[in-house]
Amino acid sequence: MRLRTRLALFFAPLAIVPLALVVPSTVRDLRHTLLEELTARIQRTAVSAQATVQQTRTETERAITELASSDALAEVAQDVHQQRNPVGVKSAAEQLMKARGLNVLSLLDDAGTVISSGHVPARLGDQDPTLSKLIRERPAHAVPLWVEVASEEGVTQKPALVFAEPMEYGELRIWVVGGVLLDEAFANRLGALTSAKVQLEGANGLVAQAGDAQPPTVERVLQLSPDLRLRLEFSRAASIKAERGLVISFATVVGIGLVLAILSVLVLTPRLTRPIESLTAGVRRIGQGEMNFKVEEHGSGEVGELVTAFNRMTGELKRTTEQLVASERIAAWQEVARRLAHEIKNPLTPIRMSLETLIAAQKAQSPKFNALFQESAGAVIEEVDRLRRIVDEFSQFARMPKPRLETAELSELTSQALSLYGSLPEGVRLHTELAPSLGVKVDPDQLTQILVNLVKNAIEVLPKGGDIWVRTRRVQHHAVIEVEDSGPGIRPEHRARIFEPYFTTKEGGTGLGLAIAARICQEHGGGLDVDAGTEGTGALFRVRLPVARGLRSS
Amino acid sequence: MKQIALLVLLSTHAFAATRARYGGTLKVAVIAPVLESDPLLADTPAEAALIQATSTPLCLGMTWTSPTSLQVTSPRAAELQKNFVRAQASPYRGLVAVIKNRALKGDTLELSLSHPFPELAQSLCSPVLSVQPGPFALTGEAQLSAPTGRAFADRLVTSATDERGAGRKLALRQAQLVLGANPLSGARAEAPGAALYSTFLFFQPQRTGPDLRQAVESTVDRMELARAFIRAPAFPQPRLLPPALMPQETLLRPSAPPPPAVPRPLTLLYDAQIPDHRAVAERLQVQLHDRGYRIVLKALPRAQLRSRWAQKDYELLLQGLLLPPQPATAFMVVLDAAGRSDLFPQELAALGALEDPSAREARVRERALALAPGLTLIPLYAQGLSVQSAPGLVQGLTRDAQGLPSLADLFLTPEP
Repeated sequence: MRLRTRLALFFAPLAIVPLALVVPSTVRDLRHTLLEELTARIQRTAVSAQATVQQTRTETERAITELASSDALAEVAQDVHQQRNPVGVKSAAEQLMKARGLNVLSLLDDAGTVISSGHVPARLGDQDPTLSKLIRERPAHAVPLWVEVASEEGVTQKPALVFAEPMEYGELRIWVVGGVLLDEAFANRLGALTSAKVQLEGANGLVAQAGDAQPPTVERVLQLSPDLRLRLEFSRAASIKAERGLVISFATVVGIGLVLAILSVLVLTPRLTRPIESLTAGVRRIGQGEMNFKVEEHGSGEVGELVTAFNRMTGELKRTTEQLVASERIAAWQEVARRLAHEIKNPLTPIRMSLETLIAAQKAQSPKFNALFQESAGAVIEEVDRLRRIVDEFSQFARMPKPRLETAELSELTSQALSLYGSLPEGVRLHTELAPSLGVKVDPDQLTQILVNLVKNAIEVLPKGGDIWVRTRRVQHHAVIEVEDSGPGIRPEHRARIFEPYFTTKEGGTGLGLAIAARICQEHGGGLDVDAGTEGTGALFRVRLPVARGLRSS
Repeated sequence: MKQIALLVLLSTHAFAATRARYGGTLKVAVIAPVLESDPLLADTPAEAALIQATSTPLCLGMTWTSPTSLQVTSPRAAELQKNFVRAQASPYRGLVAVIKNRALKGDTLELSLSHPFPELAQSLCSPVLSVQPGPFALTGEAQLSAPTGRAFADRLVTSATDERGAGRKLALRQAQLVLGANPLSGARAEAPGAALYSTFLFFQPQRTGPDLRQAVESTVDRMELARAFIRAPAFPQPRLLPPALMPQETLLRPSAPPPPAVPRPLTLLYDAQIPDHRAVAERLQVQLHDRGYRIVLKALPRAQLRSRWAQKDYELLLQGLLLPPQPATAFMVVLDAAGRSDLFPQELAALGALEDPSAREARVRERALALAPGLTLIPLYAQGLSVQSAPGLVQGLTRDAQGLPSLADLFLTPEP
């Protein structure tokens, strides 16, 4: 994970966590406060509704009492007593009712017979059982009653606050029974006062309703009479909306904080991370051998000091590496010269000895001079051949031509190289596992030289027979040729030096074969290594070559 | 001599005080929300009185050529022919039920009757069949060449008002005559005429159920209705024809039937232009409510109400009919209004066989009693027309056989 990403992941929680800790408690507190406020409002509203009902009751009592002692009613009573003006009497209750803002008014005689009615004019002359009962009981205050009301739609029972007061005219007693309907208008009035949904309910269901309360709601019920109740519904939607709004606000703040944290990371941290990223890239490239690479980004503070120190270190590393390379090169040539001198000196001794023997024999006029001359000449020629071979191989090693690269199929090249070994020594078995379609870019001749050298070495370590495996396969971005033998293996003390020039364990070997093979592999951008295994389990040489692009490789 | 001259002078003045005078504007206030002008619709007593003032009945110029053939000669005979046609769609078709054929020849309309029916001549005096012009034009000016003679007043002005307005008009001399009001203070009540405006409750048994008649009869008190809910002069009418045409015995109230099985609401249609009908409808509503019926009230203009009646598109319907003063004709009108014109042939045949007027009336009463329980209407009450005048302003009021005042015969008392 990159440093920038880690910084973003670090700062994001910093923006979120504090808010996440605060939000639940704040929301809880808000909910509690809103509920308390709603409860208090409900209580106040219920009290207000009770007060309105009581006020209506008081107003009704006052209106009926005033009406009972009014001159207008006295005139009606006179007409009734004198049995005149029946039309005027019939319409009297309706006129009085409207004048006093009532919507229930009946004038009854002592028997409860309707003399005049404003809310049900057609009941003239009928007994009204409900109102008759009221005048018999004569409560001290206005009471809720179900009264008969007629309209275009029919005759119904509606609740009303009703009060009764008698009026005496001589021996005639007229009862003034009236009040206000607890209907839609009353519910509307309560709804406007309370801002709640008001429902008047009777035994048979809803009587009147006003207002609205969006769910969810809480309610309070006031029992006005055994069969009449007032239900007040209050909406909790506003408080829930406030709560939800707070949560959304917090979520928005969290979101904004998160975005700001990410933006700040994206905008600000490059100043911090770019020098570090450059340092990382620089280390990688220096590791790949680009000793001239310098980090250009210069941060401030410790990062800047780090960049400066890094560039200084890489410069010193380059100088040291160059010195070391030069030293190693000199040392390598010194070693090559030493070995070459050693190799050349070896044949010179028998040459000198042979010539000295011949000179001595000639001086001594030895009768074996001719035989000695033949023997010595043969030895000299043999050593001279050996010297030539040493010189030829050294020349070849020293003047290693640049490889002429061409794209080829590795397994095919391998097969061609192995075909040079048409007949193997007795007991030696060659096994091949060649991966198809493995393209490489090689100098075919030089690759053949490598394979010939490796297979020859393997044959040489199997004097009594054995197995040789030649395999080609792809390992990541390299094509690999493995040559493995079932010989005695390579001794541990020899493994480190096996690719050095002139190092050999074979009698008569020049010690340049593997060195040449290793150099060829290097020239191809690959490498040659040995997997010696444990002693006595054979050796495995591995040639690594870059895979050719463009040629499909499996 | 001086004494004789003084006596003559005084008697002349006294004579002058009661002599009809021409001139002046007769202002009549009518208790109604609106006034109908179509004779077939203007059948409340007050409206019929106004129709009579602006039209001419065609019972003038009639000649019986045989017991079953009547000739009406008049320049307006063609209009009478048209009125016969229009009357076929009204509740007054029974007025001319006996006419079999009509033939118009110039100014003579020849009517062929299916049976002898001497009452037809008076039937043709009905305001619903009258033609224009009358003593007054529709614009109110007196017609000098009216067939019935010139009216005394030069002009007739009518207005629709309520009772309070009528009292105010009388007090302020803005009206000399008030038709259809309850007794007004300061007004002089004229002698009552015949109460022939009958109000019936029509019903459709297939919609109301079979027990409606019993429910109504068990709860409605016609005397109380006439006394407390309707303008005077009003009389209970338990029988098919009003008290002026047949005796009315107090009927025993039947017991209340069981409440209807399904309390489906029934709609009671009534005339929006007649305040009394609203009061009666409301009374029926509460009384039938006590019998388990839910009654919905619906007021309609008279034209719509007649249309619904004609199409039998109603459950309950309250309607008044201005009946002719002849029992036989009134009987035909009521039978037809109840949808039993199918009985015309047999009833007319039976009546046609009777020549004696008393026998005819007895037959009508007998059939009215027999048929009433099976008809789809319930008689409730009959009303006359109250006429009140500003004292000393108008004189000469007369009423016709239908109880309607003759406005053309009224003359104004000169101002002192």
